[in-house]
Amino acid sequence: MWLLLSGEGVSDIGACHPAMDFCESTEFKAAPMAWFVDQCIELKLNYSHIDNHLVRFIGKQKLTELSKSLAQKKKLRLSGSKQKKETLYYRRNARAFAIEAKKLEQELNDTVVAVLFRDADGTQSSRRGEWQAKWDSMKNGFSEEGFNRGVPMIPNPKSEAWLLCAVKDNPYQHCTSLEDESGNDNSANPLKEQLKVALNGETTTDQLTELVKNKVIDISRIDMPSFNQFKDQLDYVLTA
Amino acid sequence: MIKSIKIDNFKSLVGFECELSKFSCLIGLNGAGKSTILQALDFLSQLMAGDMENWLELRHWDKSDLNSRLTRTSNITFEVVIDSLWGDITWRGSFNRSSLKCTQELVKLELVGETTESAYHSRDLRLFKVDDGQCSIGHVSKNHDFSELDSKGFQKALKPDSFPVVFKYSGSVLSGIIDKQLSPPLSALKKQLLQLKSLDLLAPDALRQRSQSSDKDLGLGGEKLSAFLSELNRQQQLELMDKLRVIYPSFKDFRIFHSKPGWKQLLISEVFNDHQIITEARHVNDGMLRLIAILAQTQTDHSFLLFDEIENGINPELVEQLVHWLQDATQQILVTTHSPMILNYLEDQAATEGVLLVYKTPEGYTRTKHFFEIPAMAEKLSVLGPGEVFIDTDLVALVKEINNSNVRIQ
Repeated sequence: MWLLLSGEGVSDIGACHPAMDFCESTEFKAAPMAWFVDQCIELKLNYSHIDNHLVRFIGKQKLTELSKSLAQKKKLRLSGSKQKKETLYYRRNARAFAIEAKKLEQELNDTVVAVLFRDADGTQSSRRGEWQAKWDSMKNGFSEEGFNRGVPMIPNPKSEAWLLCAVKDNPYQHCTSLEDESGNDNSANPLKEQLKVALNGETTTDQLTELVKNKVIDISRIDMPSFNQFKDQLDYVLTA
Repeated sequence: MIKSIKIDNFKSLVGFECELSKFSCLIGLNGAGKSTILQALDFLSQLMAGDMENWLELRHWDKSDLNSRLTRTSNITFEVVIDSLWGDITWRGSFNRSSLKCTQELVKLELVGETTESAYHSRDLRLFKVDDGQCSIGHVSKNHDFSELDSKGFQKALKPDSFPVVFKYSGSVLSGIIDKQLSPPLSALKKQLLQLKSLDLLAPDALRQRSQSSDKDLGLGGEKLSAFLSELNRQQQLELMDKLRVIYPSFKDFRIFHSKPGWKQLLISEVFNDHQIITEARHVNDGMLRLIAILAQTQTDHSFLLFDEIENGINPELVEQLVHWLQDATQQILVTTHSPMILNYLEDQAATEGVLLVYKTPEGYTRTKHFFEIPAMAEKLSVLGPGEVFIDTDLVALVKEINNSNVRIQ
């Protein structure tokens, strides 16, 4: 089994070094969220995909181009009871990602578990759209392309909430309330700042990556709906 | 081209400003002020034409309908910037709604300056001013070719003249000054404003009417369509019919029938299986009549065309062609729409430059924002079509978000 990853940028899932559209494990620099995926899988399968070089990666820019090519001017999917607003972006990205995952399965002649990371609320301040609808939409995007090993990874509102939950003094308390906070870095008491305080300023990508790798930031301590749903779906595709 | 407008105290437009492109498209919730923006542009055009009383009557408005109920200011102030051969021309003014006159006006030209190694020199040249019942205007010596003048030459060519405004006028003082007395830049400004045509009230009933008048232009609601079509020259008529055949394969031609002296009636001829059917305009479908009116306008010498809810009555199948024609039109175009189809046929760059979200602040003031320059919308546009982004966006929440972020910036 192989792992296909894609995310927002260098600080969440990671990136290719040197920068390129696609890369293999040796050129992939994993960031905290990639290690989260890897550790969740390791709990189930007892081996690390990152350490065993079983990872492939697609950069956001490439996935964006592939997603855009799926837009058809004449075919508009109307929003309504079956498709809620603020979800199409997730669905379209998931479709393009599923197409690439299926291609990779053929190329490797092996199964591929594809994890797509997106912030739920990266640049907003008023929480447009429901988190669940975005998650469902990404899942529907995978299904639309007939791919059933896709896993949406959508921290609510963004990855700092998960990291913060993992390092809170009382991990099992109040993490759910983090999901009600704004993902906007300009808001009052932004999550980024809260994380900085909790980790004594050690929040560069490299520092966070080390903390996750060394399990100082411990995924077993995270108990919040957006993380649990990600983990459940990942467990499901691993056992299906 | 009109590059931007500012207007204060016109209906919900308080401290309003808006940049316009060659093709601009206004989107937004009902009541945000999209149609008001069209009306404001028509108002500015009418200031140049004069006869404000008649304009109010045509719109069934009273003087008191003009100003905003959100402020206590009395006058309507405005600024229009157009581009020209010589540089940007700015027209500012203050309109008194009791007298229906501009009591203050200023027109200045920002001369395209010479670029030297150290700097780009540009300078403003005052072309026209009205203040305190006194008018000053730069007259032109006939020997000058304005297109070839540099800034110094330009200034010399204009002979300032000052006189009291003792003549009757309505709207802008410029409406009462004959074209011969205007310098080429002033004349260009006046022409640009006069050639603006707003069809913000286009209605099927009005389009269907037979017309008696031989006016050269459509009424606000599309009245006098038959007379207007008959006034187009043959070439314009043929081009219009060619376009109609592209979207209505059964369409053969239209003709204007003079039913009785002075009356003009539009007849549409269609062919079905070699069988020709001629239909009077009053029995023709709404969509076709609207398209005839819209496309006919693109055959005229108007420089700026405004259409409210452009998609009304038009089958989605025809939208693609319509959008292409409007984008390719020689005129500057401004439309309002609620249709994601219209937006989806725009290229991303055209959408980024031309699509403006119209929204209201908590105080009720209308504002615009380039929709696809909002970071979250730009992100969505990177993977979706412009119409898809529009359909997928919760506009109520987005407006709230914009208003919240504006409060934070303040």
